[in-house]
Amino acid sequence: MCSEPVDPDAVAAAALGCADVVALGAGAFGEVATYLPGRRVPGVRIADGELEVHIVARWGPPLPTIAQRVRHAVEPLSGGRPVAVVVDDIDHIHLSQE
Amino acid sequence: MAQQTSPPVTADGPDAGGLKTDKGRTSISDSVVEKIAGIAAREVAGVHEMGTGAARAFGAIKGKLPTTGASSPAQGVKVEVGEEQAAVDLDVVVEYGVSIPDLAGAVRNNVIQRVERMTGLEVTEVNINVGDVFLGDDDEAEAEEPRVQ
Repeated sequence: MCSEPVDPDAVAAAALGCADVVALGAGAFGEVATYLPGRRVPGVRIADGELEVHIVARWGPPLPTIAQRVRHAVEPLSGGRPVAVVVDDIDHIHLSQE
Repeated sequence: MAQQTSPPVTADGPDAGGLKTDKGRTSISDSVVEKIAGIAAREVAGVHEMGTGAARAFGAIKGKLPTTGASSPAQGVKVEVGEEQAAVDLDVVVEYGVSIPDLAGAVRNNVIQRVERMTGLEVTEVNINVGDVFLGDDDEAEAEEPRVQ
């Protein structure tokens, strides 16, 4: 499998730009991130076989639809890897009408 | 870099409904399913509160602190979430006068509907434990104005 380098900031921006994505998620303990010199990009994890994006979703729309939207947005940036979308949390504070 | 606009994803596309697509997996964390199940259970008329006695007492204390606010939507909810299925355990306090089997059935249905529709997971079981009955006068004292400041 050809794995090209991934720009984590671009992936994060693409995921955040999707409708119904409230924020990026950092995992249960805040550990999910791309670790770079001097800084981290939370919510994006780049492995050889997979690109993992963690999101906090808006309450209301079906989560697989939101996840697929994120996958579409991130796929061109994934360097040939499958894109795993993990819904870390859901924004229950702002319940929207379905 | 141009801001992304969301491409129209139709509900009947080949990947849209599933959690395991050929382009990658979608995982839903436990806390998401807990919140959805908890809110689905609470919204059924006849459910007074969620959680066992200890959890509710702790939640009541937390509710009075200025920073933490109302009890968590996941209180009284335990879930097991797999790749495509979920199982839910609920601790429920019912209002006095409801038919508990009917209410349990309604809660079970609402939880299954909400979780399946919102997450795409198949709910294999919803176990409901009715831990207490709310009689209408137990907790009312705390809503009164204090006589002294």
